[in-house]
Amino acid sequence: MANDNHKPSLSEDLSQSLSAQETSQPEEMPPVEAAEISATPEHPDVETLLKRLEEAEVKAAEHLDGWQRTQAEFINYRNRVQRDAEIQRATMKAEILQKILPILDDLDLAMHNMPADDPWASGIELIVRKFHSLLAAEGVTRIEAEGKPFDPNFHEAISHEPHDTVESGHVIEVVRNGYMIGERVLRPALVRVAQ
Amino acid sequence: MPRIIGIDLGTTNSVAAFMQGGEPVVIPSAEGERLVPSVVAINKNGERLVGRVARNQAITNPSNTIFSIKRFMGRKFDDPEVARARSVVPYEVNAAPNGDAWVKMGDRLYSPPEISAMILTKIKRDAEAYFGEPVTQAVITVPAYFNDAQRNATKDAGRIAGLEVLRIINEPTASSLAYGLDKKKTKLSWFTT
Repeated sequence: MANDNHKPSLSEDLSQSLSAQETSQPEEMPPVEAAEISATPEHPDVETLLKRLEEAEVKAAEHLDGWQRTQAEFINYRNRVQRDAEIQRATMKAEILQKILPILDDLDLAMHNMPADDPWASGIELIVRKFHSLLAAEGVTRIEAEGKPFDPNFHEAISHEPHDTVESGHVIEVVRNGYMIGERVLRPALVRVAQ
Repeated sequence: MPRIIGIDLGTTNSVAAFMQGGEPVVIPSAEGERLVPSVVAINKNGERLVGRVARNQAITNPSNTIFSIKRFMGRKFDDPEVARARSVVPYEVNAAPNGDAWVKMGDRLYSPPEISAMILTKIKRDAEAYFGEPVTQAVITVPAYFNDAQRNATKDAGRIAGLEVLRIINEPTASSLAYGLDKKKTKLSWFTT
C-alpha cells in the first residue's frame, strides 16, 4: 500500500481474487457483465449489492463513531485517573503531616523551656531545626497570626476577650501554631481574639 | 448517568460520599477534610460562612453562628425539644407565622431547612469541584425517630440547595447497609430461624 507507483485498487483486488477463484473452480465463470447476469442468491443483482454497500457504509460510520467515542472516553478516563492520583497523593501527604504536627508542637514547647548552657539540649535544638527545615522543604509554612486581624479561613478562635492594647477583632496570642501546605490549610492557628 | 451522592447531614458534622466500584468513597471538602462542620454564620461584613470557616469564628460571633440546626428541623416553636435546645444555643430562636421554630442570623429569621440548605449547598459545590461535573441528585440520611414533618423539612433543604433528594434513609439503615447487612445473608440465618 505504501508503494506510490502502484496502489492496487479495490477492483484490481477483486479481479485478482476472482481469477484465484477461477483457477480453483473447474467450471468456468460467466463473463462479468452486470446486464447479462440474472440475479440468483449466489450472484445478486446490482441493486442488492448497492443496498448492501449502503448498509455496510452505515455500519462502518457507526463503528467509526463508536470507536471515536470510546477513544475520547478513554482519554477523559486517563486524565481523571491522573488527576485523582495527584489529589490522593496530596491528601495522603496532608494527612500524615497533620499527624506529625502535634509532635512538632511538643518539640517547640520543649525548646521554649530549654535549659541554658546545656550542650545536650543544644544538640536537640539542632534536631528540631532539621525537622523544621524538612517541613519547609515539603512546602509546609507556618500561618502568621500574632497581631493580625482575625481571619476564620486561617485562624480558629478559642476565646474572645477584652484587651487593653490589641485592636478589636485582632489576634492577641497564638495558642497553637497553624500550618499550611501550599494554598491549603493543614491546621488553622488556635488564637485568642480581642473583643 | 448522573452522579448521585449520599449525604449524612449530621447535627455537628456532615459527610458526603459516592459509590465507586461498589464501595463508598468519602468526598473531601474544599478544605481537604472529610467532615464538614454543620455550622453556618454571617460575619460583621454580612458575608455568609459555612462549615469549617464558620466554626473557626463561632466564639467571636456567637449570636450569628448557627449550629445544631438539626434540633429545630420540622419542629414547632412550642415543642418541648425546642425549649430544651433554645436554652443551650447562643443564637435567637423565634416562632414563624406558621408556628415553626426559626433561627435568627444577621438581621433576619431563617427556617431550619434554609440553614440546612446552606450546608448542603457547600457539600454540593465541593462535590462538583471534586468530580468536575454538576451534581444534582442525592440521598440524605435522617435519624430513625424523625417524623414526617422533619423528613419533609430535610427534603426541602435539599430542594433549596438544588439537589433532587431521591431518598431519605434512616441513619441506622444506612449504617447497616455500610456494614453490608444486605449482602451477608448467610450470616443472618439465626435472625430468621
